[in-house]
Amino acid sequence: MNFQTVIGLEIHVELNTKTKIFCGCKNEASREPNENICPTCMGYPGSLPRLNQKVVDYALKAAMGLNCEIQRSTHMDRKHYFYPDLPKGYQITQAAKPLGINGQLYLEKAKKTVRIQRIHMEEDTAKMMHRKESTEIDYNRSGVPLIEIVTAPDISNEKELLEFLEELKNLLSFFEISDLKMEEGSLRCDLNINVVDQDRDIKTPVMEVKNLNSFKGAVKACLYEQRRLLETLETGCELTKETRGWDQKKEETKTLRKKEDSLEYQYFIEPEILPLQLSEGKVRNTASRIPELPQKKRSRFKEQYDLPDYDVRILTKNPYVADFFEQTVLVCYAPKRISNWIMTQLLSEMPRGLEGFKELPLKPKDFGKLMALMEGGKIPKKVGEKILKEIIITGENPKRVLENRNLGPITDEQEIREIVKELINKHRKALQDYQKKPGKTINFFMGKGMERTGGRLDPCKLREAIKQELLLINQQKKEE
Amino acid sequence: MERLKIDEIKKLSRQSGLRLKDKEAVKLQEDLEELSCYLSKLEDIAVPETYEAIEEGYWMHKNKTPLRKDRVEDFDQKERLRRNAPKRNQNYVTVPKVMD
Amino acid sequence: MDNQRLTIQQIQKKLIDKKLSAEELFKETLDKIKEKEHKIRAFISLTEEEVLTKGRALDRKLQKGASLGNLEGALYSVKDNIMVKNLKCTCASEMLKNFIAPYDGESVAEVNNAGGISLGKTNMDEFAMGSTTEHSAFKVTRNPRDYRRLAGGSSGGSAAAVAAGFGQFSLGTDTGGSIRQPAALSGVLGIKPTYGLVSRMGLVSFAPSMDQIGILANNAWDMARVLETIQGPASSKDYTLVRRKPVAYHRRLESIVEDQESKKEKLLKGITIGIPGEFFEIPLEKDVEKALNQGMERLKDHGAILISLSIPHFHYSLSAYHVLTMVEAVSNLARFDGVAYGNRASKYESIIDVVEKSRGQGFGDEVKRRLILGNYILSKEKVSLARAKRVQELLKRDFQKAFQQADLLFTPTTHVTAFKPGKRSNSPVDMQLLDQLTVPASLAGLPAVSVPCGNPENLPVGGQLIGNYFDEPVLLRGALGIETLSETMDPEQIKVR
Repeated sequence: MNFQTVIGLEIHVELNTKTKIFCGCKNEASREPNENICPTCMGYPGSLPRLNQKVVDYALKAAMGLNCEIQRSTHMDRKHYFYPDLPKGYQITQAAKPLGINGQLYLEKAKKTVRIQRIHMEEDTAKMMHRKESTEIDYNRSGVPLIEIVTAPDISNEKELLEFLEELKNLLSFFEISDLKMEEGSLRCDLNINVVDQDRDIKTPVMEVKNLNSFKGAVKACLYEQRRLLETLETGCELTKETRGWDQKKEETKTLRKKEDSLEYQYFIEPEILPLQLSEGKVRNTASRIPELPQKKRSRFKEQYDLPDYDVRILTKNPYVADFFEQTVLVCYAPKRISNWIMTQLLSEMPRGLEGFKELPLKPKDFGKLMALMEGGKIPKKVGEKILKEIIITGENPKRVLENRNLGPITDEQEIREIVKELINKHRKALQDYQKKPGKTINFFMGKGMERTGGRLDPCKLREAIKQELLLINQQKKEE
Repeated sequence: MERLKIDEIKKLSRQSGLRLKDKEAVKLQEDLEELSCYLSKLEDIAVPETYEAIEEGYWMHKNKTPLRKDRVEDFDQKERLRRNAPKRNQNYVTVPKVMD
Repeated sequence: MDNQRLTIQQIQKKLIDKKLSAEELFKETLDKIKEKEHKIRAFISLTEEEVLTKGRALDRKLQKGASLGNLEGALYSVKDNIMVKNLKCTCASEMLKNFIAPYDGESVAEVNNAGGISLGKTNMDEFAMGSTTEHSAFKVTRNPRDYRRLAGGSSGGSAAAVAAGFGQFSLGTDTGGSIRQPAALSGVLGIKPTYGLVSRMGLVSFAPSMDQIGILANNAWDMARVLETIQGPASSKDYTLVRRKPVAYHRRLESIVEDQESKKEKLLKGITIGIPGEFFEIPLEKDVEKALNQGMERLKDHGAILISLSIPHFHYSLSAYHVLTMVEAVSNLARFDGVAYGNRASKYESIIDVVEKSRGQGFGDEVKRRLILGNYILSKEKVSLARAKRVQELLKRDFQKAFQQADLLFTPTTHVTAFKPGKRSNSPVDMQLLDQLTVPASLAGLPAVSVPCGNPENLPVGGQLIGNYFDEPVLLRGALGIETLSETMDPEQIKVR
């Protein structure tokens, strides 16, 4: 069967402003339930919404980053439905006039553009914890600011889905408006998916899939649903449009609610929030302060630093690693070494991965100095790694660590001679091979020497010293 | 205006978060007829063509929204808010289990 | 000596001159309440115990010779749909019968800061939906002028309290006439300020685009004084307010009176008052007509010029009002779901049960009716909603044209005088006609005040003055004009000092 999968996404981004969207309650996770609450976010009678300026700023930036047309004159709407996590019985959102429309995000790997239909601001609902016999509600999350991003159904398979999510996260990370973690709920994605049988020109109804907890989960859910829909096309089974939930454990989707059951949202304009009018100046100002965005940065890094795609992708994953890289390069112009070290040695010491670059005690100038030491041949890689392990936590000057820890290279020939003698005495057995395989014996003692001193011995001088000593011993043997 | 059927009225009542008895639904059929008198009085009012025109006249005065600074304002009667819950468990508000 | 007739300013003078102590003054009011409240039923909650304590504290303050706050010495009541911290705020509904307010509404806080002392919360129609308090879940308020009759609504309790001398003023709410109409029927003054002048924070709104907190009082001076206090502060949490410099309404009224006196001019010299013909096309009760004519005479006596003019879209206003308010009510009452506060049904199995049963038990018939009709409009008659909004626009234009010709408009407040329970309330349509004359100013967001007109021996009649946006000073001047030279007032009332 020739089939086409059609996927559109509805993404919610939780903004990291200090306070909620319509009230001054703290916008932060609290261990205690119902701690960050007030009459407004609990939907108490007599309370009134007051729109947070930062939310508008952040939404505007996101909309611009996604190349949207900004609707400078806009307002908010009420969307009504009864649900225990919706305290007012309606959600304040933007239905009729979203802040941004007609944007796009280009996918470099898939080489296609995904259209962004709309971006708008809205408030989050309370959190429901489902227990055995009851449901418990925590209003800490009620009123948290969200931006909703809706794409056109331009995505055709799970690879594009993954690329879109990664690219979107990458892009938004440059605005620093959200933690963007699917596992924590600060980035949420719902799929709208259906499958078209191109031979017979029939298609399944559109399924909405929710409760995706990770990018991997989204991909798995996509594949699962695609397969399920294909099967129904093959077997000729009738389906209705419905909302399905992804079960992470069982790795399958289940019906949550059928679309027909739903009552109407009775949208109308929110009378208690007066019209929002963004001046041209404001829009221009925001546009001028947009940072260099990932796709542009990637192509610049490729050209300017002559780095491969793989490296560039990682180095531009978020603004912190990108800045760290570039500032290091300013101190020591060795982009490939720096890139390698960032991707391997540095990252392996960072439990939070690339996020850790935001608050690293190690500063680019010191990292750069470390790189310079290696570039200049002053210290070998192994020593560099040892130093890194320390300065990544302490943020100390690597040169100082070098001195204090006695990690400097050992170049004194006398000292090297003594060490070699010591090693030979310790490993007399290895001498047996010397006659037949001199090279092997030398390498053996090279290794032992480096091991013994943590790689500090000057390799050339070490080799010389070993050769000399071995020759001497050989001569002595001959004389005996 | 056509007389609404009883089950249409019942659907409207579900929309309103209410569950009507048949007797009540019948009474509402009559009320709806009275409402239609009010609605018919508006029939010769021309409706604006564009959404913008509707938006224009929506609010009472032509002012725009003030925006709130992103500064924390802690509410000082949180315990009262929690205590107002008809059913609670520690600090959670409790409702019957919701199938999600 | 009946201190009820005194203005707050005069009361303060008596207190300062030590002609009267606060405790004595307050005790007078409390005695009145004890004597008549069980017949009138103006209150849902009473806080008498605190009143005497606060009275004694005020006396101690007076002993020290400290200066008095704007409203110090005054007792007031608050309609039970405005939050007063730690008191029940029931909105006269089973839904909120045990709900304790966690905060003060902004106007309440402002009155308290100015020294006003609260007597309690007054009765109303459930969620302010109604015109007689017969839709209260708890009790029906009677008219102090004739106990067999109703006091009007939805701020019936507030109007009755002020008319009975239970306090100097009351804070009420007016969406389509809910302050003005009961004020007219009970024989007191009632003002609905310009939409956007007074903060709605703390008001349990049912129609947020028109609801306003307003004042019921016995005289224009007190009304000005209270208005000065409750106008929205710069730091208000109500972002729909129109931000303006605060106006000293009382001082303004004083200066106008002084000005005219010093120029030996009549109070309303230079003021043009428009009489919109359409408002008078409604059949008026004989007494109402008579009283209004007397009102107009009084205005002329004060030097005002009366002209005829037209509000062409008057006849669409009632329909538009009902469509708009029913739809907004659906939305604003959606939060009452029995989940986080308010009444929750005692028996339920599912979450739908919680919602439907709590609302079913919590809401009265009138509220339920409006919710379903409102949903009908949202589901099937969206075009009516657009038309109703358009009527609002057209009415605003009509009024703006009118205000180019006149400073104020004068109309009847109601077409009838106070009536007996059940007489009208069985027909929703008849009830709604009660709002006909007050609704236009609500739709346009204009300030309007009802002032007692006519013979005090008869049942009260109110004349309504409508002003342009934020023209409360002119409105109050006109109100002063109608009430003075009236048989209800002491001639002494004209002078301030």
